Amino acid sequence: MALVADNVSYAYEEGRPFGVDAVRGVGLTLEVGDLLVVAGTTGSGKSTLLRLLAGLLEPSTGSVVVDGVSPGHRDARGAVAIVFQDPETQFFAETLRIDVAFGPRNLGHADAESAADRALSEVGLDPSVYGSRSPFSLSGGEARRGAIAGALAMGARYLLLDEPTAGLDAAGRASIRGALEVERQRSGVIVVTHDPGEFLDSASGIIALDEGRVALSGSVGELYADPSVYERAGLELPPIVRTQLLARASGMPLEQVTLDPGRAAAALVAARGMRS
Amino acid sequence: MRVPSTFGQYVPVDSPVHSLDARTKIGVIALFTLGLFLADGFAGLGGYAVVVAVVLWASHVPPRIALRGVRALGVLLLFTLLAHALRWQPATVTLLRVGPIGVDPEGLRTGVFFAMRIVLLMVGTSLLTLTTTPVQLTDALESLMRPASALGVPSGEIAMMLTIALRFIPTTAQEAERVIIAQTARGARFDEGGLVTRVRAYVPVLVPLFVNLFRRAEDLALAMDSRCYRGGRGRTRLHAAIMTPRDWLVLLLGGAALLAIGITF
Repeated sequence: MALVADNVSYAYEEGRPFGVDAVRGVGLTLEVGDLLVVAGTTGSGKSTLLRLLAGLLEPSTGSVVVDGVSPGHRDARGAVAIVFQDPETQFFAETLRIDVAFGPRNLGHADAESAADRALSEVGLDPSVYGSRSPFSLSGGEARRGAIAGALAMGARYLLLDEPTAGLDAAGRASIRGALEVERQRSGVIVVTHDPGEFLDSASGIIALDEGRVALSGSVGELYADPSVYERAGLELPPIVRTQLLARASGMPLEQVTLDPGRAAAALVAARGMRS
Repeated sequence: MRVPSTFGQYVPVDSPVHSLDARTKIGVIALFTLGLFLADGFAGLGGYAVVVAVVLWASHVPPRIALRGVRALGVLLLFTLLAHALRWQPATVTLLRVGPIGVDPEGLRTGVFFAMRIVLLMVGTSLLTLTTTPVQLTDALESLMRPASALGVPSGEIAMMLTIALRFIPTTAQEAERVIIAQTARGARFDEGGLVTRVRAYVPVLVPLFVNLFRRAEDLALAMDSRCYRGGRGRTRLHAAIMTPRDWLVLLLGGAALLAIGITF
């Protein structure tokens, strides 16, 4: 049971003068419990890859398989949920609860409204408060979380998110990360982002795209062991990670690199003590 | 699912037709349309067909693009033809009779005539938008409406509205496509059920589309306001269009020839 992309390529306007090879020979496997981060600069093919994985685009070459069948197969319906950039622009219903329940209702789920309430709770929106509110009256952060709840409510085995935390404040980003941690207990999650820093502590793997090709694929530990490929792809590690990697390169015995400032500071102090 | 590309969309190639001033093209098209309605015989329509074919060839616009709109008019053309050709229990001689319905030869001729006129009108007028950018078009309209400013008609504002409306057609099409894909990903189906079901299926597309359009319109208005837009009065142009002798020649001689075809035939 996995979402598998095998040597997938896709070209926009293929064979035409302004054609663009957006994705070139990408392969990945996503299983339930995984949190895979796909990083890349703007125009590196991240969003196109996500659409290919969701079956919304047909690969020019290669294949995408969802639990052994193609994404368009009847058995794959509802197996993959996708959240696009700015998902709050797709609201249409009178209340947030009805909008969030749209997906599960389309899939024929009898308990669509309770699934909607559960998803709203997961993203930190109290259904008793927000469920009856118009989605058009929400603040930017609330609307983003509400839109992500629309995908969570579908109960898909694979959840694909395109820049889910872009433009959110710290509290909004934290609630999205929290919701994804809950979600990965029953789903495989792919987060596409040009700034993967906040997901590195919890990611099970990372893929860096450069002009549609896989520049790096491996664990976060492998990334930290040699970040040069990642940086050549135009990406930048968070300052706190770079600080720890520089300290490690200068001979400090840092066992683990972390995004948590408190733990990072304690590890640096301890390592300094050990070295002196 | 893709939103179809807009009919009459500008084709960016170099040609003598493209390089003409937009006002010349608008004037010639107006006289072409007038002449087309004055012509009352197949000879006249044949003359206009030759003119349209020559201009199409000179414009370097692929014929399949210029003829794209004709397919969309298929139902109208068929209706025009049948409405003229078919007679219920005709008293006159018929070409063909099926039960009480007969095909009247004179009606068929009239139907073909009107269908040809619609096709020529469609292809001829689409050559204007196929060879003229939206900005050139609205600049020309503003220039042509300028005399009306003296009567209080806000020609500058109307031209700006037209420019913005044309500019946002492809953006709106992309937005519609984006919302359709997003709702499809949430399990929405647009190709299932009867007519009413299919129309209702588009509610989750139309509501966000209109909400986003109104938001964008408000943002655009605020952005224009913050950049000190105060209407058309006193605005100057970076690239002012100038009617060259060639433009005047095409407008006067071409326009006169087109009108003459309609009056003569």
